[in-house]
Amino acid sequence: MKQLGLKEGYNIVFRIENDRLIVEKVKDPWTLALQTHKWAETTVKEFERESEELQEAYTSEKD
Amino acid sequence: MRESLRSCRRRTHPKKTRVVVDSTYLLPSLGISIKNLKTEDVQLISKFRENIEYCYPAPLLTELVAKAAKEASKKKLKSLPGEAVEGFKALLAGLGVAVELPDPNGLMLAAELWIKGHRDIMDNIAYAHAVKTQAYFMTMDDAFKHFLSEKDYTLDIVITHLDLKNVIKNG
Repeated sequence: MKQLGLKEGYNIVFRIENDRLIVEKVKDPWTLALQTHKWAETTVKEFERESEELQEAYTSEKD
Repeated sequence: MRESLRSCRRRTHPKKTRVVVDSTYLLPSLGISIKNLKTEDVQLISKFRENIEYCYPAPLLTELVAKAAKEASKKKLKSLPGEAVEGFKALLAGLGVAVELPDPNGLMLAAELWIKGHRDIMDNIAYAHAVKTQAYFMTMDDAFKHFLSEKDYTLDIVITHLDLKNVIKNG
């Protein structure tokens, strides 16, 4: 536990990988949002526009 | 598989106000900053975790992964950076944000909004999910708000992070 840096109250996720039980320390998204390194930047408008463009490719009424 | 489906089921906390979050609010957790969203805004959202159950409809994950892939491609990366991978792990672990399957009636409402002219099905699903599951919808998308208003859909449940304090009082 010490090597993992786990203390009481930390969130962990158990998952099974083949025949191994993996224990992972997981932060919640809001904590990550504050702490994680930002490798890209966008705006609300740009994100919405790109999402609509992507959807347009799937829902185009043209054959 | 069974566990991942379980994590998508809706678990309501009777004492918590439900808030469906738009994807833009989750981009910083993947390492993608939003120009209009400051650190203090995220701190505010994080602060209310004890009183608010933040929810995210599972279909919207596609626009998050598409945006992360697009940004990675722009930077000529061969795969998603570690920050994005950690963000998805955190989101799918269901901590702080509950990833939920959409309500069938919500999907019908989402389709109705699309037919009426709002051609962003992700926005539609998020709004409809909030309407059909007695939640607020937290978004910074003014164009969508304008559409809803124009078509006479309720805006009472549409909020931004700046309204969270009031929502708790009323919730």
